Amino acid sequence: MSSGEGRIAREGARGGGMGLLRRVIRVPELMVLVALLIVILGFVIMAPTTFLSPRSIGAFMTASAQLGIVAIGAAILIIAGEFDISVGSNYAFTGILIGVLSTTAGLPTWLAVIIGLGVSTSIGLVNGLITIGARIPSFITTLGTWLIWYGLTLALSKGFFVSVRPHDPLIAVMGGLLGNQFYASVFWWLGIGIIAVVMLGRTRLGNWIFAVGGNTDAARAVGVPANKVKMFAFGFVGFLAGISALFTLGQQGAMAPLYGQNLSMQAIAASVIGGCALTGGSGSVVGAMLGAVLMSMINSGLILAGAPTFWYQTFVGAIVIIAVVINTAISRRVAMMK
Amino acid sequence: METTQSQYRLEVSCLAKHFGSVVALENVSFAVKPGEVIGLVGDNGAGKSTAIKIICGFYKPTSGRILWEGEEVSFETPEAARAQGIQTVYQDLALVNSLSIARNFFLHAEPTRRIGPVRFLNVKEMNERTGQILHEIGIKDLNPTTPVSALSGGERQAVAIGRTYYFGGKLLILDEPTSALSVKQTQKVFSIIEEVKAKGVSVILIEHNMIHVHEIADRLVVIRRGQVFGDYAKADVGVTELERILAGALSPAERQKEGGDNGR
Repeated sequence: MSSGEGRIAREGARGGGMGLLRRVIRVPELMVLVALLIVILGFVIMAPTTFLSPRSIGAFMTASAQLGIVAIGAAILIIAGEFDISVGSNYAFTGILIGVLSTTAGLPTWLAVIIGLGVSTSIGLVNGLITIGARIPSFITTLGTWLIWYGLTLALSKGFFVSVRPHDPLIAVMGGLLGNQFYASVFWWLGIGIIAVVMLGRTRLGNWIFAVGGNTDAARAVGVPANKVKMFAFGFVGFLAGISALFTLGQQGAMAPLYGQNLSMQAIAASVIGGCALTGGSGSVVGAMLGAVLMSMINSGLILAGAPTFWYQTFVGAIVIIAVVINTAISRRVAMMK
Repeated sequence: METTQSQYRLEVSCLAKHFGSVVALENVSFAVKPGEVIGLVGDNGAGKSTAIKIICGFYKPTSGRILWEGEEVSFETPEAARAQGIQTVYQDLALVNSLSIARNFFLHAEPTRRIGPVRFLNVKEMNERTGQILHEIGIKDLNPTTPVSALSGGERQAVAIGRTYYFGGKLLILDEPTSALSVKQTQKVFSIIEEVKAKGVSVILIEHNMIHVHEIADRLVVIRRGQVFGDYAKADVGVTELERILAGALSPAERQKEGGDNGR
């Protein structure tokens, strides 16, 4: 996963007369890599026998996939200069919808899944339409739609778990258990991650996403269809929220209406830890994916180390702030070094 | 389009622009030849920016004509003007900081390579061609892969100007290109302007610094209260005189006019 948009920074890193230090600190994923190293070391010391066991790795990678698939979309949207804090509600609604369609409504699972992903993508696109059409901050748009879809999720589920058909092959392919430790979701996540990285770093659309987030007026001035680019990013994160719902259905066979309420903020946290600037225009999908791994690792590591799990939020919160403080200091330093 | 009898690339005549009852531009006429640098000067609110925005398609004039390479045109959008080769470089609007010079250079015109059903960026070609172009217009010390955020203000202007030239700019409109630059960086921008001028590109420069504009421009068009106050060849007007005119002194022509027909 060394290609793609990370390479934009590396392309830059080869610039004339730059030292090794500059080259290294320009890598947007640097912070998250250092943090991962520290966390792995820490947990290996605290829980030497269990933390790097296949069982433990399987657990945190599965959790990483769940969060990381949404973080991919969140990172791309943040790079394009927008946010979506409604993805958590989108995720729960889509999971419940697929469940209801395939059981209560009796549709074949494949049709329920297609409709579900269509709906989750549309939810993302509607966020984009409102944000762009009304020219309001996407934070406000999705604050509203987060509550709207949360309410509709409760209405559709009547507050209960909704199951899919047990042992459905399609659901198993999306999120079922492979072997003993790994869920299929991990491989879907990595596959979609690679596609996203290549798309962002090696296609015109990817270049436009950075440009629209970095300087919308400049991008427009040379003819980049800025609104369409943003719509793509909104739709894509919605689509990935639907994929994440399929992962949950695959692992648990059901979706609860209260699931996913932290998902949006965690996905944004993963993106920020992974080097996305909230101002838009810079960031990395690889970084966001590693950010999701870091967060999941902390969660399962604390459990294995026997620490109360509420430390998870505390840790992640501190890491978000530290990551942004250090990244900001680095970019100031880089600016002064010229 | 090529049946040009006019020696001018761009001629504007009797341009006027009213915003409701506010007259931003009353009567502006001037012309630009190929390879000529025009300095458009005037006090704040004189109408320079309005004139520029009409030329590059942001505003439609209330009245007046625009001739582009000898033919009357009416640009509905900035894109239409750009398609004809009228390119505007705004101070902070031109480049995306987080992208490399090459990625900025080819933004929305990226070279691609087809592999199977997907078209991928041809990063190598993008970098190589950017390097060539930078070299061609005299920017020899910049690596195309450097992010724009690492460039100085002068280098940014130079890259933005180089880009518009490369993509077929025939008339370059620069809005205060040197206002935030050091002396050295200003010289760099001027040398790029000289380079593109030598290649036949026309330039309209809005500038508040009379020393700068006098140095680089071939002709100076002074706009005051929505009208062309004077149109001077560089040799016919000195820096101090320009400054006096801007500060409110009357031109010889106006003095005559004021005396001759007071009624208007």
